[in-house]
Amino acid sequence: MPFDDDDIPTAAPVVSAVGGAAPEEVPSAEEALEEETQDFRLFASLLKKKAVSAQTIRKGEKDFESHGTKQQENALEQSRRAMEDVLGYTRVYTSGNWVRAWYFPDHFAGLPEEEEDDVGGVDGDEKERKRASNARERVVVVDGDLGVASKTHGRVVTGQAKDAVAKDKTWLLPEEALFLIERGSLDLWWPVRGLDVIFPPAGKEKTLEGEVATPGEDDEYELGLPLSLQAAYSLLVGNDGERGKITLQKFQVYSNLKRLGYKVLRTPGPSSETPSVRTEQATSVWQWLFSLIPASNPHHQSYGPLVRPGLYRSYKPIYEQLNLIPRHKPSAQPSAPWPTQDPFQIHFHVWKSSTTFSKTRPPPPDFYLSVVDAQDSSVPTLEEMSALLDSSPYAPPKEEWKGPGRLYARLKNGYRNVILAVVDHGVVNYLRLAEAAFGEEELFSRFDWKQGPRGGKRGGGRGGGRGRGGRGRGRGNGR
Amino acid sequence: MADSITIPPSIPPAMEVAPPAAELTADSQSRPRNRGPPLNQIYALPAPIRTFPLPSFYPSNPISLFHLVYTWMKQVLSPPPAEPSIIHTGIWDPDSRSVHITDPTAVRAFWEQGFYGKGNLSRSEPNWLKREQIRRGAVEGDVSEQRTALRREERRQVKWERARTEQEALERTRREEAELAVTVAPVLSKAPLLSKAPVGPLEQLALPNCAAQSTAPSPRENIVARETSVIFKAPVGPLELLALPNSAGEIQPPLTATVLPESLAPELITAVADVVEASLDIAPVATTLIPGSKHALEMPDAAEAQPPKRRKSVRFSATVESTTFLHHDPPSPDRSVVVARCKGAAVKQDDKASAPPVSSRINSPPKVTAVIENKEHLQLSAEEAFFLAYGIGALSILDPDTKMPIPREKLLGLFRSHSYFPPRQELQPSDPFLVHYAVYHHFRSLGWVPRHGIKFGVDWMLYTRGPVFDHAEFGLIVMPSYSHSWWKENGIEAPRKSWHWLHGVNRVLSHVLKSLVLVYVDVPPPHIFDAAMAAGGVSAALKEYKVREFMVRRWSSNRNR
Repeated sequence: MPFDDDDIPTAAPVVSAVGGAAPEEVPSAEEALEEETQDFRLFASLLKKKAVSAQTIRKGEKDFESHGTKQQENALEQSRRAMEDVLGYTRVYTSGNWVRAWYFPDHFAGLPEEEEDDVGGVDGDEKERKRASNARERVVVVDGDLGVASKTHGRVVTGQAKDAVAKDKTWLLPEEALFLIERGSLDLWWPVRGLDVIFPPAGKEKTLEGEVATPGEDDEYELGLPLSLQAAYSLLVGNDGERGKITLQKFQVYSNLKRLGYKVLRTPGPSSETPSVRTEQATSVWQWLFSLIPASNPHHQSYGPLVRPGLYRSYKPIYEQLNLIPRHKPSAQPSAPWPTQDPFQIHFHVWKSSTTFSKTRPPPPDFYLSVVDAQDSSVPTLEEMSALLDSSPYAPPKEEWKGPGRLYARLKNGYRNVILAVVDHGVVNYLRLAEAAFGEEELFSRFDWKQGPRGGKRGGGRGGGRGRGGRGRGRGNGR
Repeated sequence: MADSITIPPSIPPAMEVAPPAAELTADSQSRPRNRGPPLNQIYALPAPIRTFPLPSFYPSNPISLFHLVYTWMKQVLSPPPAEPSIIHTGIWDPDSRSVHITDPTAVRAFWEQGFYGKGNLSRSEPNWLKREQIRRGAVEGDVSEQRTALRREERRQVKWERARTEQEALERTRREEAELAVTVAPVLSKAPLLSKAPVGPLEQLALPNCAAQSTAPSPRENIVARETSVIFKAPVGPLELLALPNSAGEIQPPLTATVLPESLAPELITAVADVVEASLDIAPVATTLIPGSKHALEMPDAAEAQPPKRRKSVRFSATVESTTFLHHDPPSPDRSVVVARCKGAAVKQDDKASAPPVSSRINSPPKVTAVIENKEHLQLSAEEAFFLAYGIGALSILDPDTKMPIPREKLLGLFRSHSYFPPRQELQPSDPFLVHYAVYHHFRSLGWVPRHGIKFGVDWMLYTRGPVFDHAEFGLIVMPSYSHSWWKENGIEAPRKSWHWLHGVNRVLSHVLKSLVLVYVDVPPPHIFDAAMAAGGVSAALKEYKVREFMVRRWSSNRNR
């Protein structure tokens, strides 16, 4: 029985090649397999499975008390040792695996916020889908090549003046820098000298080459000082609204998703770009929608009964008379007249790891993510909820889900959806919020199917409900 | 069907529980369904209104035209009564804030035609009478409550069986290890294993639970050990130590643990264990203990008097895991073996205990064929009653005092004021009744069957056809919302719900395979509500409420990669 439902037996995200045999000579997994000495037998057998640590430490039956058997004791000891091995694994950073980065918080501070839109606008059609880069928020400049990490981290800020300093360097957002530092691929430095000294412009390069390109041991510290992890945290973590910083909650969500293999990018630009336009449209649509309803049902007796006594040939007219409460009709146009409010905004765009990806022209995100703090916020109000969902794109149920059998699937999918990450003291829990529209599913039309597809009706009732027998049936789903 | 047995999800692979489980499933599937007419026939009408569809006309079959014309003519010449043809009556009960339906035909009608209300003596379907008849043996058949009880009993037995095999397997390994230890131990050291002071948790666990067992390393050697080692060994074990006299005056016929009668109450041992753990070295403990043991001696077979399954578990563990087991917990086999040895005569009883009776509680009473008076009525909640009266028009609600129908104009005010406790006179558009009725009406008018969901921690459960046919797929939480500027100006806003609460609700619902839906009801401000009320009555006022649904589901970051 899995420890919790997040566990997938095959997935061992963190440690795939953890050694942990002996501290003095840490062999890789393959090496351990090769030298099958007596001592390593257990270890080697463990490594035959892909998921080393997760398998040994977390899987298996849970014992709630000690039986007093040797067997149990041994199993426990074995797991403990495996865990110790995993924790005691010495991480080695070779010089090729990390790059230096400099903290320049104010380099882009002067950039106007509209810069984001201009980048898209000026470049015209060819670059219309090019993602805005949040340049104002970028505070860490990378000195060198990020390697694999550059696929999803950092941007070269375009639209700078021709002679701008460090124009072609990659700039990182605070969360990207912090994540790379934690990962050990980045070494953050505090600059003592200016950006122009550290990255001499092309013209001066030749003259400075003698000094900088062949630096002695001392020269390195003349430019700046390496920062500790604590220092990096204190520089890059801040409150909402502080430029060049990220809240701890958002960083926790970011790094959690990154470690799981997702591709995560910050939402481009200030998210308050379009609501004003939307609001106008929305109110009109909203009002228009509800103005329709009384027109179609003009006569409702003031105090009922809504169903006028008479002879009915089918249930449809009966239920049409009962239709009283305005129903929500989802539309591709955002329908709520309310603007998004903090913290219920989309903060991150998330792509599955399998998506082919380019950080400048990414495909439409797989998920839209909002981060809230469980302590500071509460369950959203209608305004917050609908504004949040309206800021995500229209994603109606799939075409092939038509028909009575997929009723639940349609309802659960909804017409827009947002992933909400609720962070409580560092523990992240994700919720999927979806804009449902029960008004789109008129069950009463089935009542007239008398001889019709009864099975369909049942299918509707069952479609989602019984197909999942594999999981948790034992609990029963009471009526 | 809903009554298929659900097998507990986690049966550890190493255990031999498969046979009973498979048996049970097969049994429940092959059990004949003697429930009379098919469900589709009983619950044919989705609402308490009949429809008279005209037969369809097939151009290829000219006779169908005659059929069509005949039916039409018949309905024109002698029209069926206007639907809803029967208006049932119910009595408003202010004390329980519900409407009582006592007429049996009305009870059946409201239950079968749209699943309104619940029997006040039943879980949901008003079937107390049938249940009672079956219980007294007057009628054959089964009711859902009994099936549930049976199912629970079966499930419990499966679990019990599983735990028993688990315990047996455990006992086996323990015995094997003990044998191994016995063969090795004498070689290693002269001192027997148990003569060490039991300090570690394992040693404490290995300590005997029964007096007769006290010095034996395993039950197998129980008897031998009792005869040989107890008397001659120095008092090293905790029981012996505790039982030692503290002063010369206390010396009396040795009341050591070995002499304690075999029917020693388990509580005593627990007490001893506690004391031992608390203060192993403090001698005066023994004095406090001895009166206790005397007391225990006077109690005639306390252990036997208790139902066997409820026996206390006594473990000499460093930490106290659980002092009482639930009555469906399995008895530890080692203990039952020991007790059996101790008592000899109690073996039979123990055997009985190891196979708990499945159905003894359920159908055993004697057959009595007396006419049973139906003491059950259907109780409609205010929302259901209002929908039937105001929406469908199939119910007329009587005043409890005057026994006169309450006019529909007054009904809303009555229900609104009673949605507070104590009933309130000044009413708001945000009255709980109005907010909930808006939701109820919204879903009813779409053809869903909403029922109260307090059992699952939500406001409403949503069925596609009804509880007889399917499980509810959705649980609704009603969230009043005050988005109009008037509310904001007056500083009224919806209560802020915490994330912890939402996650709790969601967790409970997902455990029963239901989805959580947050239903926001946008409440109109008083002036708009009152204006609508004046202009078009309840109908116009209700149109001012807007209902929005939002699905909430846990999203697993591990499964969506």
